[in-house]
Amino acid sequence: MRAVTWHGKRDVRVEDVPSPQILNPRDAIVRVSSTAICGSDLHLYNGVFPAMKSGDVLGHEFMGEVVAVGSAVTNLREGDRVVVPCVVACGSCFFCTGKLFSCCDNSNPNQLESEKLMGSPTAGMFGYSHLAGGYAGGQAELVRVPFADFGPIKVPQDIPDDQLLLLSDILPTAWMGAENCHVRRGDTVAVWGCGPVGQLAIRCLFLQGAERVIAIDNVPARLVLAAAAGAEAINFETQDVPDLLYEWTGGRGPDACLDAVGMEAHGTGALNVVDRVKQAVGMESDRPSVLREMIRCSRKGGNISILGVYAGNVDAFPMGVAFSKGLTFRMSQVHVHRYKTLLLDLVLEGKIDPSIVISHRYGLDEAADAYRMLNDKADSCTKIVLSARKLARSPELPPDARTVPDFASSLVA
Amino acid sequence: MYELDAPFDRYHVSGVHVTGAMAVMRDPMSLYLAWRDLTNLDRIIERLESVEEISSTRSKWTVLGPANSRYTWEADLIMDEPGRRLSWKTVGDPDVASAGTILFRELPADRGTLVRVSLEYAPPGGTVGDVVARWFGSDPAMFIRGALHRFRQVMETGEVAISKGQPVGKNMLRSDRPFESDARSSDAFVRDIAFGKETT
Repeated sequence: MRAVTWHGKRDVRVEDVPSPQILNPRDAIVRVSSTAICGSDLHLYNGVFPAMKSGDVLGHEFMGEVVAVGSAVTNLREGDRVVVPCVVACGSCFFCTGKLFSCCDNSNPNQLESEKLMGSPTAGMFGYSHLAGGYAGGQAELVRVPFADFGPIKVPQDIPDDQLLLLSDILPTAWMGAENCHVRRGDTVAVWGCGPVGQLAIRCLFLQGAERVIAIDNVPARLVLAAAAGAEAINFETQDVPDLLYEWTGGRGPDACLDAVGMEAHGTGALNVVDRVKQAVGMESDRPSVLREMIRCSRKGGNISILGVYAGNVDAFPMGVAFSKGLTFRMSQVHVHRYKTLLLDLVLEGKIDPSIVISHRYGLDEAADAYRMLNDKADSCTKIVLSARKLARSPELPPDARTVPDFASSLVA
Repeated sequence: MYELDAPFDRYHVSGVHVTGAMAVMRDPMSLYLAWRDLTNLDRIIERLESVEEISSTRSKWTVLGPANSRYTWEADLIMDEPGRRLSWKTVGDPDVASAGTILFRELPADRGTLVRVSLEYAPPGGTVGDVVARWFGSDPAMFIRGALHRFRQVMETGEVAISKGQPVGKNMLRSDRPFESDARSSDAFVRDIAFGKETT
């Protein structure tokens, strides 16, 4: 089958790879119809995220049709149309029981490695480094989906892919980020980053009752899209963010600040130059200029909601300011499974249309160009969707792909 | 109460003493029963080839060493408290004397069970020493932790999560090319679990 593979910094290729097989009883194999390139894939593309190996299949947002199920999967059958959560979760560990699905104890095959770094193993993710388990990703024609009896979201056949695809990651990410702002009546929320996640977060914040949302970015087209949802826009290249937030809130500051940028923030000023140099030579993995600005701008006692991906360490974190202002920090990799039903219903009821952020469509074979384009933000690119349907051939499952190996399932009778 | 931090009984096998602990979302009796059926343990413990039950209390253990060498010994169950505790000790005067205990304690408020393991062994020299050193790896505590992680995965989900044997692109430098056989690394062990063991 064809798949998008990572081979190093800014080296993404589309090549023939072996088709996946069912490896465990709870696996399924999904034939991909649509898959997206996520802003967080750019961290991998630019080589700032650790634990990638040359040849890894990329992609964590995908949907398609179930073509094979393992012996323990009883709730899905061949032909079902599913959106697959980007996070792999078992559904039965302490953390899944507590709805902290991206903290799943059992879905990361590289338990000890993850534990060494994090203190305890975090969940597996599709196509997002060996730190997240080394699962082959969704920018491919076929994908093996572990714990398929728990993860995939069954969706109706008659809704276009574009409206459903983003249920796998960025719509639940945006919704969770908005929830972490703990919006109360009259609240003003400032959103740093108006990429696809930021755009959807702005809409989720209004749905959750925010009075005002202030959108911060430097790409004019993105600010226009944010304004279309009712947000007030600040261009950080031409305007002074702290000054404007101070003025617009009468010195009180936004009640909540949401980071939809993460570890590769553009930033301005001397400290960001230091961060860039450190990141380039490996002294500091993440550039936290947005985080610093949010701490400075937030109102006292405000909520800091962090969605942008951070992978390692940050320097010059203004802890004293955060402490003195009594801020609350809430963050995590998205707990997709928590919002499966809620968000599917919102989409089907037409209360939110995630497809508004999709700006470009390519075939899977054109992925290398698509990555370059997203990274350069040429043409004010927002969200790219790759269609696996445009390929001429249809990949075949290997004859033994449906055979589940004998396994220790007797242990859990 | 829970006796969460009671010291382990020691069996005075001179040498190495390591412990491990893992909270598992199952009741103590299910976990005890899974462990009490010693033939299950080769799915959990790295490079353990087999455990045969010779009698209700005696078992024969076989581990794989370098170049397909094997080392076997016999052990007796010396404490068996259903749902709470199992202790074992090697029989007679084997090359590697060892003893251990596994404890199961219910945690409060539906938080599952705390599983604690204690293992003592006398590291030998020579060829047997190589086999044992290879078995435990450089860090016996990590060896136990790895086994406990797999035990938790199997008991909570019915399987061990795996990402080896999946599609990858062309890269001649990778050691984890799918379906490629190599030395019995931990990767190979995980593949064994996924694909079933070869009988050699």
